[in-house]
Amino acid sequence: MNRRRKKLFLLVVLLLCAILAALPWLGFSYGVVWIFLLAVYFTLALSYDIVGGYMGYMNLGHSTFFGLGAYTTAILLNQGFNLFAALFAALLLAAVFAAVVSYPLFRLRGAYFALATFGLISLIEVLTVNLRDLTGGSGGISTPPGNHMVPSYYLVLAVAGGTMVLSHFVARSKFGLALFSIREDEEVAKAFGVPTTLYKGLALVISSAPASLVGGIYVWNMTYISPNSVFGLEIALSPIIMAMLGGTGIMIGPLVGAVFITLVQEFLWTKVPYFHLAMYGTVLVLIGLFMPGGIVRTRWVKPVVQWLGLGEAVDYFKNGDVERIP
Amino acid sequence: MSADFIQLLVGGILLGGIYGLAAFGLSITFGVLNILNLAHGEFLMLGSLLSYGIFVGLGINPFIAAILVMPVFMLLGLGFYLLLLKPIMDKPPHQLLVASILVTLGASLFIEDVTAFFWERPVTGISYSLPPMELAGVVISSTRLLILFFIFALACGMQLYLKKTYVGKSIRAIVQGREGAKVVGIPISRVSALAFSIGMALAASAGAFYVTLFTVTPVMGIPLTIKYLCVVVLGGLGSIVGSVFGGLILGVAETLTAYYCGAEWSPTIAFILLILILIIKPEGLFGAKK
Amino acid sequence: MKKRVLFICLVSAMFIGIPLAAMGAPDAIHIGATVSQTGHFSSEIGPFKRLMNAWADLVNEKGGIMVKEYGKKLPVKFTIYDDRSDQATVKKYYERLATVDKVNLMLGPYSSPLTFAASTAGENHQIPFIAICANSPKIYTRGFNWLVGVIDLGPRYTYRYWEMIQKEGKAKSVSFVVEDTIHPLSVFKGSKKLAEAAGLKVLTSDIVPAKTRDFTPIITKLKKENPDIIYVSSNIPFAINFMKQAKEMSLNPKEYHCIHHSGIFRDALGSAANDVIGQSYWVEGMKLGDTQLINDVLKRAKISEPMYPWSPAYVAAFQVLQAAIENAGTLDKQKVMDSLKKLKMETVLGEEVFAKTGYGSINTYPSQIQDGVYKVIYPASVATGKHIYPRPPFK
Repeated sequence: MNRRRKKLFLLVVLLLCAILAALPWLGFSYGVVWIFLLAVYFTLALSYDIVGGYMGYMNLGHSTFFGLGAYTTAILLNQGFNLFAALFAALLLAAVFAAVVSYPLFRLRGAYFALATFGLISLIEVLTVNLRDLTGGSGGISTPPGNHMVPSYYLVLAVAGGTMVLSHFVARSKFGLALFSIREDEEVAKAFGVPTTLYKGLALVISSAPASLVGGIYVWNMTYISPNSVFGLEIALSPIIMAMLGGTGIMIGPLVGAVFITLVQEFLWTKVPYFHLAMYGTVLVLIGLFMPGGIVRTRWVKPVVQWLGLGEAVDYFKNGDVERIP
Repeated sequence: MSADFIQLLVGGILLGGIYGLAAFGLSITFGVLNILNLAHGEFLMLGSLLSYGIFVGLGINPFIAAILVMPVFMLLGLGFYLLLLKPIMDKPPHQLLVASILVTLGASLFIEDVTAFFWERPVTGISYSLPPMELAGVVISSTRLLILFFIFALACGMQLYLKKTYVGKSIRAIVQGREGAKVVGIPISRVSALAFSIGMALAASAGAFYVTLFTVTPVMGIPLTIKYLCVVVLGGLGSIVGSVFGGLILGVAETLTAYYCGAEWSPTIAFILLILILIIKPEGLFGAKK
Repeated sequence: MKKRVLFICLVSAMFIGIPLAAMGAPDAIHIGATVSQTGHFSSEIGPFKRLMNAWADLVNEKGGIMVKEYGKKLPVKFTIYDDRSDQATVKKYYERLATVDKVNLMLGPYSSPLTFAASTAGENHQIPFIAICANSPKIYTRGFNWLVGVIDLGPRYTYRYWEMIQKEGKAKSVSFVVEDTIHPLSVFKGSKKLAEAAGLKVLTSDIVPAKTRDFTPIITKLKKENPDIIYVSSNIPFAINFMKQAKEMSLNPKEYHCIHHSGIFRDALGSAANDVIGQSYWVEGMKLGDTQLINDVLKRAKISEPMYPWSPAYVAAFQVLQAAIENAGTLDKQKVMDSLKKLKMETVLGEEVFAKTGYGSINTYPSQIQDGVYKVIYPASVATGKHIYPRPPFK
């Protein structure tokens, strides 16, 4: 019975993938744009969750990597580099940046860490605006025009899928176990020999990679970005809200959250004439009050998730499923 | 020292006074409740709008309005606390952080949207100003000077309150150590509610001055909150003196940076100061070590 | 058995009927747009959904817009989404307007960055796109074929002011205070060149971060430099804060120019706003074409022009839209686009003709606040008042 249900589930997943792959040819071009943006936000939410959820450090400045990736890619594209070279450079830059800032930032905890990382976005935004010869300043930067909707759609889906795989394997690995231990009690983890400083920096670097990649793909698609569009409040907070709403610390959480929020926003902003922001705010408040663990941890959803093998990694370790650790 | 430098110094101090006033309330709420209240700026904005209404409708001077709005917002703050914050206060730390951000952010968006809908004017500002004073070639804005005096008076008042009254001492106890305060028998929930109400009243009062000096729009709340959080962290949680000094330091730093390095670099100084203080002395200049 | 027959008949009827129905005239001219109801642009155009619907109501009361192909007038219908002042959202909704709502024409969102993203939808799906509040030159250098913009380019925003200054020959020096956002920056770049060409010496140019609220350092510097004209290229909140502090610090040049100085500016500053010059598309009493339409639409929409100074530009855009469809005589998108490009007409804001790359010719006039009233001061053919120079110092 279990196996057949699992086979059915896999079949559904495969069918979904097939539809996603074929979407541009089904004549539903709005769907392509919609899924593209969903995938961007989802990848940001999932990569955020490696530091925010697995490790318990709320990195409100996650979109800094996105913005850095976008601008690096834009600048290099304008210099004539091809997309993959530009994306690779963006990845490298963001990783180095993450490694460098992890030293001062990880000396902070909790709300202070969240505040400092949030301030980091403003700092980078100011730098971007001031170095206007390099970045075009507040006027933004435009890349060579062209309609790249379809290839960027596939690219972003590939990155999103890759991030899901990455997140899954991190969660099931010893490294992931170390991150969870840091989240539960950092002092104890240190006492048990977990190299916390190294692992914290490593987690941040790993989380920066998908973010910078989708930043580059985003600018390639849009052909224009401004500091506000990549360092603004919207792109900074939305992925984090998605992760929190779906459930942090669990791989499927950000996916659920991203889909849920995008659907809610689509409904509110196209069907409701006024007060949609207020309603959106109310939804956030209600989730915060009643389900801060996220949707996937609620009474109805949690059993389904666990049975699908997508539950919290920690529960597996607790139940002695030691063979699952590679 | 050149006359310019003195003018800048004076200007920076006056600016810092405004920062300090707005950060006051935040220092108390952040210190006592230990949550990031993203809705702080919304209360400031609402206080501004109410003061504007009082000024335009009844012709009352904004300095008096600053005092009038306080009781109104104490009640509103209490309501906000009971409805939204009390239910999440007892959650474990990670969940608390997540929940507090969701709840206060959601509340901010709600307040912004409803306010923007009913407030027809996109940007608001009070056209009230006093003639400036000139002292040895340095121009001093009288409005800002009055605000500075007001803050000092308020700061002294609050400091006395915190040091002499039972409630005040309870607040300080909670800031220094929540668990310890519980052990000693302090009614955490009630004191938290009171502290939050006071904090919101102070935010609204700052709003009255804010709309006199600057313009106000319904969407200004969140960026302001972040900036004042920096001031609070700089000065030290729960410390009145800290907020005032934090504000002054930031004001002077920003003004000097803007003049000598160019206006475009002054936003960075707030963040640089924040990072420095978090690394060197995380509890802030005047904060108590936990 | 009977049910099945009924079902088959209904389905066949649908398959035959629907294509037949589509062959007749459409029931309305469907126009798509987004308005920044929320987000940081909401203070500029938040209520403009009402503006668009008010114009639609006025036109529909007269039967609609004449489309020769169907031999009758068709009513106008708007589909308007909230773009949240966000680039990704604006791109998404213009794609939706193009592919799901299948509009006949699109009107642009507010601001150049948003228009950048939105106009790609028009280009990719070959739908005529009329940009309104977007005048960054970068928008029009992409080689798009489906794009026109109602207003003239940013750098030329205040060219009439500099013409006037040059003619008068009294002012000798100017200092610029610029808000670091795309529109004021673009206006500044053009104005700096125009000022130099007009023979003035540019003493200082300060590009200041957009969120700056304290201007003590800049004002201190300007007091030292003492220019004849202080030119503040910025959006309104920035300008209000600057002027308030300029008054507090007794900064008294011979003239202040704040490019945006509409009603909110005047109300927030009181007497400090007197004699400040700015730019207006339209002022009550101007000798400029038939401006009755502006009054009608604004009244219907309950929008006050001094509060939302972009409203006349939108009205001009509506006129352009109507004329383009009437001239084309059809709703065929290519023909409407050709008709737009060839358009030359008198709008409520003056003559409109589009350059090859798409930007329009409607521009602003220098207007001075005199005793709380806005007076256009140049050129003489449309002026409603005379230029007061130099201005009296702050009391």
